[in-house]
Amino acid sequence: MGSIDTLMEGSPASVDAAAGWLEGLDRALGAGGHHTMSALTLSSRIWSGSASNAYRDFAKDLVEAHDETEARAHSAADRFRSYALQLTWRQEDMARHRSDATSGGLTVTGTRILEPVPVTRPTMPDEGATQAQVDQYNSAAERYNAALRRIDLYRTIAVDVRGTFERLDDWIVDNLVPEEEKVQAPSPVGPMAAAARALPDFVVATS
Amino acid sequence: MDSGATMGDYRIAYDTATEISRLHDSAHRELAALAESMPTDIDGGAGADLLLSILGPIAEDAGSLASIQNDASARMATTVNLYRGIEEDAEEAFRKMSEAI
Repeated sequence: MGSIDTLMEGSPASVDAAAGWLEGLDRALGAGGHHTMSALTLSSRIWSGSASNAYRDFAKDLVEAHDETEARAHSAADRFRSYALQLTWRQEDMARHRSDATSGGLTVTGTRILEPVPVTRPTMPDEGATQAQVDQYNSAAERYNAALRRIDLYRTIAVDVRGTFERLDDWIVDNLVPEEEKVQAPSPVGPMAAAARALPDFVVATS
Repeated sequence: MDSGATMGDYRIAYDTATEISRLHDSAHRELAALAESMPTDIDGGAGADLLLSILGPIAEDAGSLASIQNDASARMATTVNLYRGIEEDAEEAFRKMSEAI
């Protein structure tokens, strides 16, 4: 006997927690860019010469790298929040499928909806059947029709459950896949880190 | 230093360089503090792997930026120490001049 597995794994709270971390990172990156801009502005008051120009070029690049990483963190946090909602809604859909199954007389064990047992059509009684035989047939026919309705419901729910999984998969393909491609693209931070390591110690001179 | 620089110039430059170092250090600390709470696992169901693939490079870049900020702060602190020496030299020169007078 088969079954429909309605288990949709994942914890929206866990995804929301990751989104919250990205939002914190978004703010920290924004603050870091702001601090760097302040440092850049202050430097112009005390510095001249090639070292100061090198510092200011570096600080400008650093502000831009902060801005770009902040934008990535912000966009990712939005996607994470949206995904947590999608996951919540699809898990609610699965709960509704199980509820529909129970209401329709199907057996649900945990997250599995069990396939109803196959039934055979009752044989019509002969013309000369007794009333008791006719009543027995009518009861059997009623049970048979109810069993057919359960089989129909099972098939309908199987389609619905598949649709719910596909709906989440489609959302992932349309939203998370492009987001991943975006963050996997080269960022300015790597070259920036290499350039920072190559900077000479700052030498300040008042003019 | 230009020979025309005054004690006031040194003071302003020293204080400003200290502030620049502090600003870079603040940026470093705010980012570094987040590294400790970075999610290493997300119970994200079908999208879990993608979520981690999205979060990873961003966290890595943020870590690099924290490191760059720390480096910038340290370099500026070196400059501040240089200043301290110059200023102390200047103060000593002025004091000797004063004593001579």
